[in-house]
Amino acid sequence: MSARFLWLDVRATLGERKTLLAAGLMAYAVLAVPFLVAKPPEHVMAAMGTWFGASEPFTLFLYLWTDLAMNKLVVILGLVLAGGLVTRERETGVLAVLLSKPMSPVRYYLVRALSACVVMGLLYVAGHLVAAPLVARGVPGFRAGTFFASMAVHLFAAFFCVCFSALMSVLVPKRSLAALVSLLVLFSLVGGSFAGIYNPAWREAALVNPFAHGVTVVTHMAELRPGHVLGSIAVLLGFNLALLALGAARVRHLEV
Amino acid sequence: MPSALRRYRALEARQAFGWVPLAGLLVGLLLIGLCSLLLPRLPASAINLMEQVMLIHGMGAVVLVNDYLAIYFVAFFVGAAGLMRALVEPREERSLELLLSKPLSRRAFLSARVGPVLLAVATVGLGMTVATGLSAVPYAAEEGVSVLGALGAGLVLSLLVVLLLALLVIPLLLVRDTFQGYLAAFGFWMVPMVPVAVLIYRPDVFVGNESLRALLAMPANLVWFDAAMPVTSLILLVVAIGISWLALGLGARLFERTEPR
Repeated sequence: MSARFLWLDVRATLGERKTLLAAGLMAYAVLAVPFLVAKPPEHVMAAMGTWFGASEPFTLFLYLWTDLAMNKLVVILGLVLAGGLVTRERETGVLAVLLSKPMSPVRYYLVRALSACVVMGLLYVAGHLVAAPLVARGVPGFRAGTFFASMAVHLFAAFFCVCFSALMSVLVPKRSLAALVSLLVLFSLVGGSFAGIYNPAWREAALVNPFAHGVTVVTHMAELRPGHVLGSIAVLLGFNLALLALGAARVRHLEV
Repeated sequence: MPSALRRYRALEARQAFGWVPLAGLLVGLLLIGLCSLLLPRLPASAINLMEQVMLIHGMGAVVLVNDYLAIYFVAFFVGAAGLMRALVEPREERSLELLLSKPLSRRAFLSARVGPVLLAVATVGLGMTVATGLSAVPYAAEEGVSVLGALGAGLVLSLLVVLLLALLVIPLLLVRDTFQGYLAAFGFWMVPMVPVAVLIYRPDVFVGNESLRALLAMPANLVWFDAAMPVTSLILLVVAIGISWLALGLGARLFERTEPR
């Protein structure tokens, strides 16, 4: 039954207007980033060389695509897709009806969170598939393999945003406060994604930040190994499962 | 004003000054503290890059630019969350009809709900502005950095946020779902940040357009014109009040014509 519920929920979310608006934001990134990397100043390219060991147009592109566009986008999409999980149903008065079905609150929470992750994944991967051929034309030396490897890892940072917003929605009593806490915490973490690159002395400490793992393909662009990709995905998966478990534990004690 | 309306306004104001602005202020002060603590520990090459891309000089200017970004970010989203609670959530929860069934005009409802949110945002901005002024103290000897300028710039940003939020009220009256509301808010927040991204990565766009650059490249321009910030904040105070009043008037007219469902 959960599988059918998941399928119906994904389909319903894909049909909502907010998903269309979210796809619009993705399209905006596809247009804006190639414009920004078209004529970079010398000092910016020199910094790319220092930080990532390569100063090609593609280096700057992948850095901006990940940090300026995708990092910000996943925070807002995570909130939009999972920010009101369970509490929204409670406050609009439909939660009691939903839970009269043979489904526990925990299962309901987990299926909805998973569904939000599926929608996030669909939007995110579709955005990258559409972007790749367009960007390949505009950015000399475009490396599709690195681009999609980066997508694969950062996708799990996007799931982190979904799981975090879902957790806040059941942990913080007021919806507006829950949304604000999600935005402030996630944007602050995103701001520190590259802290270990800006100051190599912080490299170890910066790894407590999930987004530092999310950008691992960008930071290891020059000598990328499968271990980087798989290791970071594993770490992010751990973070996400922990958030889901915390949310599920909280939902168990939530009053309807 | 009838005493019942006064009591209603007081109730709404108490709602607006709750946990949302308090949490925002705490995070905001933390971010400003972190800027002062961490930025001076970055390697010289990273600081040089920030100076080069933002066209600024000295550690004081680098700290201030980051403080200004923090004010813009925190104050805006505190206001966005407050407006969602005030305008979009009741609609989503189908309680707006009930609220408006009282002998209360929509204009009075809108001003009683939005006014205190904007005031709470201004208060958060003001608190962060004072902290920014303090973070400028150790660098006041640097050329182009002053405590008064930092205070003025903090006020300029707080007022800019109030103005943007007053305009955001209009789309928020049209949406029926908080998440569409947050996407609209994100769009409003992002647009003023586009010019500084262009300044950093495509400075060639502004060649020959220096006055446009001076006007738009926020928050770098707040440091470039540090000395003018106190006066600018006073001018913007008048402008922000005027435009917010107009936007709320327009919002009220729109609101009178919408179905509260």
